[in-house]
Amino acid sequence: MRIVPPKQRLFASAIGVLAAFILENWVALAMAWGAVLLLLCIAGLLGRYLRFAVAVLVPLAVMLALTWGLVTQAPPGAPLGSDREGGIVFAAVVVLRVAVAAGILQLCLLSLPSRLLPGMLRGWGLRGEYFVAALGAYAVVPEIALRMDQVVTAYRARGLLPSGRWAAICRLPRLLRPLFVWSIRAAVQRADLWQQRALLLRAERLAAGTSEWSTARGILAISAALLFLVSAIAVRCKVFTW
Amino acid sequence: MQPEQRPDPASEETFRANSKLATLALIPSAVAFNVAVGLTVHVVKAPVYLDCIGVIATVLMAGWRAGLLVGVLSFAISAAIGNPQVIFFTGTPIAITFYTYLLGKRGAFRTMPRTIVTGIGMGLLAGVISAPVAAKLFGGVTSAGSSIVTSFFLATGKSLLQSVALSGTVCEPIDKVAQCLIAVWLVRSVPPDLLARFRGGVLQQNLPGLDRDENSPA
Repeated sequence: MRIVPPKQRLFASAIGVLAAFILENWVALAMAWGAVLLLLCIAGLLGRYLRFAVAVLVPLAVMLALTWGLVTQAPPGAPLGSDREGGIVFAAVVVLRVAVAAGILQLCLLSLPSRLLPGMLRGWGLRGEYFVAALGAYAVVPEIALRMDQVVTAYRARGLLPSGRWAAICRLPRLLRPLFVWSIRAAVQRADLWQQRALLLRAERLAAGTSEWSTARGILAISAALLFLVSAIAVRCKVFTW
Repeated sequence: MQPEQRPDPASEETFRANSKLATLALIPSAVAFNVAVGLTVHVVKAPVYLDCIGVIATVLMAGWRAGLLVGVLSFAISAAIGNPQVIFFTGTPIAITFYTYLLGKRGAFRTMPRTIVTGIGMGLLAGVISAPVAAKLFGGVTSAGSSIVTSFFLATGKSLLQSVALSGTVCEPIDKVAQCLIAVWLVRSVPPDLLARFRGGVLQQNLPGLDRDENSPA
């Protein structure tokens, strides 16, 4: 399947996020969120997005509702306790903005097959050392996350990871030390390996052009983002009202 | 009689190339470490961020350029695989990088009291930098525990921006002092022969007992 090229992908995402932060009307934001959910569903990213929603959006929504609906009982700038409904609407607008922006960012970053990642980074203008660093970071994260998991499991198995929050915080530095020393050693070994394999020279050839980018889809993505931006400006300027 | 030890220009060139490559290889490790620490903090449910330990450690070991890349990439990857909200706070690790480097050059991490004072300053800086983002984009509430403090200041009648800035200056120093202490302790626990592979950092000013590798011309 042909996909949106890197520059158009980045540009369309930036416009989409900007539009989400321009919008102040919760109905318009809810509609935009519906559209983003549909796109996430088409891209097969809905499950991942829902995990993010449960871990981040729900706590954020609860805290915002408590802060603006219960504590201040007014939106920013209004006297305390003067407009509870306004406070809750403000909280809803913030949550929906974050939901839309996060969805757009996930569509931009996660809808790309990993084999095309080098091409995308090159398309964004990363060259030489910066390109290798970015690509390396993306590749090393799962490895070190697995290592971290091993360290945590080993501590738990020995009964060294207490259940109390403060005790766990006190234990945290000791938990990090083996991981840190291992990651430095791994970096030095990786450097030797890169030198032997002349990685910097090979990386330049790695991300040669691909035929999977679709200019038509790029134009479509930018058009959709621009349409969203124009609509957001129109709603903000009260050309459209709900 | 022992011949006079003079640095060989060819070996110095090789050492420079090697340490440049080592720094380049350190960046992905430090980024991954930052991300993994974030996940662990989430697992143990600690009420702190600890999201810049890798940045501080990298600046100490390999200088501000590497630290800057680690900070930006850490937040970009965290946004991609976890919470996209963090990408809007990328200014904070950038400021922390320069702060760490500038103060590190003056030996700000040499002793524990100095490290604590540096951490307090770093916290205030981070609080001031992240306040406008948290206030304007997220209504003063992030998914961290500092939101409760923000709510307290809002309830006292302070404006949103004032409340977020005050909350940041109260909560961030605790987090940043912890991060500075942990980062320095972690760097000290790395074997000197490994640390000697990196150049451009401020280890000499902050870890005076560090012996360089005998092959190193530095």
